[in-house]
Amino acid sequence: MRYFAYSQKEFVYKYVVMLSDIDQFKHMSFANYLKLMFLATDALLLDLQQYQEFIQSTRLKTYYSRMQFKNQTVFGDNILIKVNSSCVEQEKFKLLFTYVIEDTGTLVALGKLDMGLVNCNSSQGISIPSGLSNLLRSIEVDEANLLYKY
Amino acid sequence: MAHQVYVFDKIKVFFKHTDYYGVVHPYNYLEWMSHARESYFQDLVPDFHKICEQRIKMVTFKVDLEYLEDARFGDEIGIKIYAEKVKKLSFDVIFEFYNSITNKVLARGCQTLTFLDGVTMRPTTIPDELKNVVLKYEKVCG
Repeated sequence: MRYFAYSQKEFVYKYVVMLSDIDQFKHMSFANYLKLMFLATDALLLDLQQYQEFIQSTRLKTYYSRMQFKNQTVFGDNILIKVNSSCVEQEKFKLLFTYVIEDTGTLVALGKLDMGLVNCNSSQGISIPSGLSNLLRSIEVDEANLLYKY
Repeated sequence: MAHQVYVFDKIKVFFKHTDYYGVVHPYNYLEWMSHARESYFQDLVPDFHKICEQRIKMVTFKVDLEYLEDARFGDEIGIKIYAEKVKKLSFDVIFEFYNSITNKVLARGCQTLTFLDGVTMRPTTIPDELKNVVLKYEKVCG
């Protein structure tokens, strides 16, 4: 028998549902959850040292996105978006997003982005620089051992 | 019998859709999916807004999108929409984004829609008015 011990380190982005996010059914429109996935990604990258230099030469390219919706949120809900990485390879990686309501712990949504780095000019894939690699490794998990399937 | 395809071709890429690198930010495709889906239902399902206000609620369960090619400022984008896996309680809406000028496929997406009873919050069957339309657009796989 094998035992696993996970530190469950993650990057957390917080968002409060505003009136402009909800529709006439009083729930946050599903497209807004998708936008939050990209906002959380940008916030994660802001942790990178030399971020300005990074984005001038390197483009973060999204190859695939998926989101599963579990519960709805309403005006005033505080949503925590927990970000983890998985499958960190030389040129590509995945980001996993777990949306929960802060007060109740209710699972709201599960998201996933398959991403890679490309050269801004040539659009050719390039290796993940050590700064980003270290950042991703610090929040990396093995999808096979997670409670949820993203 | 061949299935029908609904075409949503009202998208023009503006600067607000582009990112730091001058290409369309992936989020826009997800938002355009929601616009196209609502247009599809509004155009084809009689009194769609009334169905939405009834006890049965349409819920987006899953959204998938594969990004294939970049689009840029000034491009015109169309979306071909059809259905797959029309079951008792759910169906998939398939989206194919293409450049209207070059016909190049830009992205492929899928939304799984389910239906809940708004009072009991239990899964319920697809309303007939909606299902009748969706079945005409169903691509039967295999």
